[in-house]
Amino acid sequence: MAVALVIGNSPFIAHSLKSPAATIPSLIVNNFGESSGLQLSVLFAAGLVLLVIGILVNAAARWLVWSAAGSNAGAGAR
Amino acid sequence: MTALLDTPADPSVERRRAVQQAASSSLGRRKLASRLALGVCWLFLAIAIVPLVAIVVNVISKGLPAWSTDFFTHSTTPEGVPGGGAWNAIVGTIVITAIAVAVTVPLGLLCGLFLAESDGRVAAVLRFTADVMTGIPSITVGIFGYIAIVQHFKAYSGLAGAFAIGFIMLPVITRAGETAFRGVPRSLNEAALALGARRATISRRVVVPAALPGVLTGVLLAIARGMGETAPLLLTILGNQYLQWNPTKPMEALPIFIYNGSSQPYADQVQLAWGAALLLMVVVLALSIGSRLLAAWLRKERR
Repeated sequence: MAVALVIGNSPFIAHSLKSPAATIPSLIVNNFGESSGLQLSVLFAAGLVLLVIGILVNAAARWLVWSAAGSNAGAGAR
Repeated sequence: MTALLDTPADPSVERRRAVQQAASSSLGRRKLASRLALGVCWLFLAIAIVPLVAIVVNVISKGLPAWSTDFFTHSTTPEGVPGGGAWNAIVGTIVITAIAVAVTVPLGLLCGLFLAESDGRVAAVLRFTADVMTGIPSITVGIFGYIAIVQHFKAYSGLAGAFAIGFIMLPVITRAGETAFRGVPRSLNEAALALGARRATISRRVVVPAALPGVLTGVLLAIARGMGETAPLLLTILGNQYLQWNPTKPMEALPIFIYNGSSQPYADQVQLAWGAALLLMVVVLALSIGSRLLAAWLRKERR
């Protein structure tokens, strides 16, 4: 979200790390005010993608903790 | 060395001597390696601290000039009208945070108490839910607040913002509460049981008072976390350049004020945003440092 202030918010895919780009949160925050109807749904769908990525990463982290904890999983997973 | 230990027939003595010799011959090299490793650790610590110091120094130097009596007493004025301040944002942040705290602190602490006392299936599901909630991106929380509250009531409001902020604070308070309640020594529990106390009494009179320092720290840290969130508020409270105490109406808040002000093309608006950034930083730092000092003081007081 803080990225929105500095990333440049370009609506195109950046081909260089040095050119303006966008992230999902910056996309939502910048377009939310002027959106309605289907456009709003597009932003929510982008949010859903972000949520799925977030949950996958979290699940991977938990899986790592569980598998590393091994036999004493009860103590490690907490 | 005694004569007995010098007997060459004892293999363990031989071995011990060989180890001692190897250790003393490599002592200089190992001390050097240790110093080097420690030096590298210090270097990386310094590198890690640089951004923190840079942010604090930058925000203070740019934000302090914006602090005036107008800043703390007047609301935003249209561009070109002097005497504008951040009072509307300060009020919004106070009201929204207060509502979120009033709802999530009791709920979160009771959840934490349950998690600390119970190890069953329900507790496992609840613990997992809290973990997942912590990992949800804040912009998604904002969308949830927008769909669940704003679209449902067809109005942006401070209450919707408090709902979204509370959603972010709840799992933090729950897990902090669980850690604090779990930290209470088992022996205290058992002593109370031996005196014939019921579980409810033990929770109320033994566990909660003993866990108070940890609980307070967790709650203050959760408040600090919730105060600084921008994304959930942008989608739920809309922002308001006028003073608004009524949480059922659109409100301003410090993060929104900073976000909007910093993207304005006017120097005085950007200046006000820096002032608000400094205020928010000071409050959040005071909360996190204050919570630790308070916890340390409470622990000392008890002894």
